[in-house]
Amino acid sequence: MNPEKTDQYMKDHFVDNPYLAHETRIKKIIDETAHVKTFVMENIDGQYNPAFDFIPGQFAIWSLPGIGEAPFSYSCHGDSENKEMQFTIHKIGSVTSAIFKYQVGDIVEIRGPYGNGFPMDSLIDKDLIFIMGGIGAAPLRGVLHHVLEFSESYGNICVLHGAKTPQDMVFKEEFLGLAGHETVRCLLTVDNIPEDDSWEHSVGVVTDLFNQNRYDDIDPSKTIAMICGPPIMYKFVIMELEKLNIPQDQILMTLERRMKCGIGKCGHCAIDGEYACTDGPVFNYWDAKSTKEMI
Amino acid sequence: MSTLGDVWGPTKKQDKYVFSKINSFTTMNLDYLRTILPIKKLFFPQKQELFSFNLGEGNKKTIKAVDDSKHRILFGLHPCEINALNIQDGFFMFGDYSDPYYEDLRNNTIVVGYSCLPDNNCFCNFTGTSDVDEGYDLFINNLDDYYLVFVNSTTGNDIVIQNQEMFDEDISKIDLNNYKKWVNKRNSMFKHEYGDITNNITKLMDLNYNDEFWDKLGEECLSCGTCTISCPTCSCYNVVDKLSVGTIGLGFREREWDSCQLPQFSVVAGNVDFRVTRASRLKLYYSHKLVTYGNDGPSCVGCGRCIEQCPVDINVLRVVKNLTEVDL
Repeated sequence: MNPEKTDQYMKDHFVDNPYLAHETRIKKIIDETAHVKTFVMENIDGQYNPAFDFIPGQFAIWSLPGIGEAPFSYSCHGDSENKEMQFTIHKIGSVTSAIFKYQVGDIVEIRGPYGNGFPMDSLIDKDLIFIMGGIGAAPLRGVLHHVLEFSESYGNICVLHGAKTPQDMVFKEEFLGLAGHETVRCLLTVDNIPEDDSWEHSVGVVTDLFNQNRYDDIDPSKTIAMICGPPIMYKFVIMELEKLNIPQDQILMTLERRMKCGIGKCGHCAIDGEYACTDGPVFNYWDAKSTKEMI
Repeated sequence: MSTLGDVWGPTKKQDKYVFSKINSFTTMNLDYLRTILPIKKLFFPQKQELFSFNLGEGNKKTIKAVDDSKHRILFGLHPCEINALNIQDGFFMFGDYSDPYYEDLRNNTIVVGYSCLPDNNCFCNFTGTSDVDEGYDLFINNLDDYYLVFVNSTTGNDIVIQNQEMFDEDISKIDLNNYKKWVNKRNSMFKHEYGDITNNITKLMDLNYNDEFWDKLGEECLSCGTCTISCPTCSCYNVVDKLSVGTIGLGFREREWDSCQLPQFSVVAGNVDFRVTRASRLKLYYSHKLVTYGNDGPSCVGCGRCIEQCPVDINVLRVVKNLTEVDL
């Protein structure tokens, strides 16, 4: 083993080291569905954690020593005063299984924020369409919360949200509440309804909702669409948006890729010459079209 | 030179060459043209501990420090190798984030370049990397009867000053002509003539993206990852946590070379694979080599390792041939 260095050297290497995560505490855990939970994180007094300064669409990496790391989108909008962040996590692999064992009060190491996030300033005064499928609602929820909080700064808002079954719909209560909202048109759909379940909204895939909505009050030239969902969803949603004549650079999407570092080094999220972690994960359709195998 | 630190250079290993630590200068073999593994292994090791942790002690982490009490001197690097190092420097150190592990090893290293004459597999004339103007401290050009030495840093200058008896600062007209003759001789020896890598390659790659030659290469490819391991500008890595067998709670996080050619490379949670076919993985590799890598232009340096090492003869030149040749 190499010689131990001075405290200052170690401090410099710890503070500047982009591979080291910072501690944060679990404030609250919300059960969303049988396999999805939202973790509300709070800052530990006196500790510096840059992961709390983020915008919607960015992501952070949870670091569990001995198990590994995994990237998750923030599922709330940034609020540096509250010093709170939320992640809505689907239990699907080894890291997420370990995360699901955490209790309120546990300390977790998180590093971030990473990625570009949504261009929040360019959304102002625009009509907005949100299209989300499954857990893809998580990264868009932060944008939506922000937009609802300052709704006078935005035009008409449409939310199209799909899930497999009513039981699988994340943030269901929140979206059911939105369905009755005055200024927001919120349409919900599920692929199918199990026999023991009830559902008063649509049945079908999320693109079916385009036929049920009216867009006469939406001006395509000043509309921004935001998409997040399973990989298969994107091209079908984009076909619908193009029918509405929304310009290609006003169709925004946030993409999932394998990531090991979050800082553009490990190469796993490379898409053609771009890196989802540093150039994205939010891309517009015009850029996506010119980037091979992005969607 | 060994008083400055550990000297690394090319040594013979059976009928191949490797970069290894030199204990006696007689073991160094400057007749080499290319080593099995490129010099990246000394800056971005095959396996590297990022930090160790102790779960029992409140997750206390320890980072092994680089021993900078003595320099490393890399002796005899050819221009393609130094050009590749410059590309790796840009990738690891000069983006939005600097990699501290790479940076420590790079800052502690003295690079002494050495000229070469190409063999049949060299194509640095195509990639514009047959010469190098930065990234080294000294560069030694072999002019047969004597050496022309280029000094490119104060560290390199210090080495010259401390060994003045070996150097002559006056460069005569004859010396200059000898160098010109050497450059012409070197340039005439290249076997591959594809013009210039920057010549329309981006558009050709774009237009050929769905050409069937990619599927043919995909069928032949073994997905072994040799091309990425042997490539001096490949830098993808995986990160794994390893736990101590002996003591509960002790472990370390390690990064290790990964390859975009391996089937699992682009798989995310839920087993969604963004690159199912070998052809699609080859396209990623070759767009990084020929078009853009780390948002900064093509990364191939023409070292010829992919030509020499790929077991099924898929390499940069074959791809360029497919991209550029008119098919009638």
